[in-house]
Amino acid sequence: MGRSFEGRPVGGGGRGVPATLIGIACVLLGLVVVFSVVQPRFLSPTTLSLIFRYYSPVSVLALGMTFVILVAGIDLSVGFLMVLLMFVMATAVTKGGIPPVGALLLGLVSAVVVGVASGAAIAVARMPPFIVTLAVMVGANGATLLLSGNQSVGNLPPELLALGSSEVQLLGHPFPLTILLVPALYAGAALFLRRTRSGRALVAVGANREAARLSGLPIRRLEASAYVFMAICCWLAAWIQLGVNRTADPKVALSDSLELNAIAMVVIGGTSLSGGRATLAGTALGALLLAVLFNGLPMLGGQFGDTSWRKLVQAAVILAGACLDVIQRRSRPG
Amino acid sequence: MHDSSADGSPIDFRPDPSQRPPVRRAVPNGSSRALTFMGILGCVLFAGCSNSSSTTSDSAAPPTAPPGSQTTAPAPPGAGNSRGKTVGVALASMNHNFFIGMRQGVEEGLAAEGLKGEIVVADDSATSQQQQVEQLIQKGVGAIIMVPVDAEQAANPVRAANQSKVPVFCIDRRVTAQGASVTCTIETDNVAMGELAARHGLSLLCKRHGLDASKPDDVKKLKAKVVHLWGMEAASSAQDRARGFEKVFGAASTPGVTVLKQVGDFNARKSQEVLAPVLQANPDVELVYCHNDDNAMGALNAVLDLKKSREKADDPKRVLIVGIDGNRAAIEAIRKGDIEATVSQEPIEMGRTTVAQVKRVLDGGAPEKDYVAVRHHLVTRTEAEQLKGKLWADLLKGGR
Repeated sequence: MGRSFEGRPVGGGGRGVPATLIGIACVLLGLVVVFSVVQPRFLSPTTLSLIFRYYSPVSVLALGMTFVILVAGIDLSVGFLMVLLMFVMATAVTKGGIPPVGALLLGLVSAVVVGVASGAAIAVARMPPFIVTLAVMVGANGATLLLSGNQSVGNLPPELLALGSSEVQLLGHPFPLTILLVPALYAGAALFLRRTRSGRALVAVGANREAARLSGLPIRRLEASAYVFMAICCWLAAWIQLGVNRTADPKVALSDSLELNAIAMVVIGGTSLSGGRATLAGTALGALLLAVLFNGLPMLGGQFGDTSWRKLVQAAVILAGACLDVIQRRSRPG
Repeated sequence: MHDSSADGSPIDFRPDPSQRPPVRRAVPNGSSRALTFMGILGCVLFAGCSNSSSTTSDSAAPPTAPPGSQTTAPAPPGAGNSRGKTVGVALASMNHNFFIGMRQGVEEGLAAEGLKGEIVVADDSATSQQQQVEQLIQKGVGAIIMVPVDAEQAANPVRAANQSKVPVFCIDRRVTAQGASVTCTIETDNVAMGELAARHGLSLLCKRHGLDASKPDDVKKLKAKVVHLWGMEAASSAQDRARGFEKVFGAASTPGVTVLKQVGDFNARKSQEVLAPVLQANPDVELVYCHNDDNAMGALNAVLDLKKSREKADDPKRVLIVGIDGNRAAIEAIRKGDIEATVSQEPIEMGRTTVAQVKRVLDGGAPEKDYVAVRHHLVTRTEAEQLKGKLWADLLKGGR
């Protein structure tokens, strides 16, 4: 804890591949091998296409979550905030008569407002992130129910569906646009963390808030900005999700816990929950691991069609990822 | 078996209702404080924006005391008769079109019968439902209409109502526990609905394969792959709909049919995400039998994700989709020709029927029967057009 922030791996590792990434990559590879052996059809471009179609929204949430956890915070609101933003945009068009581009901007502005409010409560008023974002989560759910009357909204204009439903041809196979978009976002964020002064300052705040303050960094603004970025990620995820489901569905965040999946992707990837250490390459691998798992298990059939077995396997894979991380880190102290 | 004093198994720290009154401990120890916190957290998470805001600390440990010690306010003297004509309505959640329709039916029924109603929603928490019902009893309602969150746990509020001589009417779900007396249960037969949907799916498959679905020998010859897309595995409605499916598809009646089970949690997104990989691995799937219409809409999305467009209704490559409930999105999809059929319930009628039974009892009579099954019916594209404006999906207020 007493180490300075400077030597820590950030944004995919400044000096070689961080140890933690090797462990997670091994689990991912093992999973792909097992799925391919049991179900040869797993090894197909369609699988990659489905993975990027269905799990891009939660991966974008994990991207924002990496920044929040980097500054030693947590955001429980992301799943329900995403759904709220879906309905802000959808009902702005269908009930408010606002043109689609205006609705998208309204969604972005709403996201920034929520992000600034949470960020201020946490960074300036020093309220615990857990409680602040829990309140936002419950409030977002309530607001969604108010806006939607718990009914899905269909017949959305193409602009709102574009991000999640557009396709690109790569090597003669159609893939969702998000196969380009999401990796580009991750790469941009990693460059920001590693190469810019603001990025390094964020790491400093997460590693040691007091030291960062003494060295003259605007710690409040930096910490709050992580929550604003998180909220913008929620907006982007909401935009993608609308296209994936072809409708605004108030129950998107139910059945699976999107916020916990996003947090799991970040932590499996080796980002420290106590702050100050983040690898976006790790989060990307963590997201890929869970997405491959979620997509592969239904293919196995048999008892993996049951919730019980599926959850047990998920638990085992998450633990395996965590164990390898610990082993790798123990074997390379310092 | 679970007597801790006899076998020395872990000690139960909860107050024993037979020896101590269920008072709150003055100084909670660490673990019970944590429990209380988790309880409050649970309430916040699951109660969401429910109407039960006056309850926190007591909700940490569900009261285990016998019903006699539960009533915190004395029941008014001569309870049954002196109670008002207000009807307490305790709904499980507003999480589904179906419940919105039911609430609409109850409200319409109350207005038609000239009764006042007080509606509370438990957001799927059995604990907050218990508190809500107990509060309704204290307020002196004349009858309670309840959608039980949990068939077992709902016995507690029902017993409390029995003690205060308030008649209880259960809609949609039953209370199964002993010693809890319900005046009348109004529901749709989920087994029959499941069977009807499955039978329609089977007849479509037989037609495609040139077989006669009415002849058991023909049905035995059918070779096909079918996905059985479950709702929430723990929900009695899902289990009953599965039972209905198994009456039609099984090793004895359809030996040539391979059934692939998946769980869609009554959730469109989840259904889409689990079904698409299954269809990718099994391109020969011909029918997806869905436990409700949210599952069916997810199934439609999954098919569209893989095939890009929907084949014509008679195309042998088309994946057939059958749902249950008859909610608005599904009816629209049926009218567009995107899904084959649904089995429609009648939630609005259900709500109205229930209030009619309540009225009979409040007027000093008895309900027609102690179990009322509300009708259900198959809706294919034909019925969706013929019954336009009459289906509950069309009558539902609000929304789009």
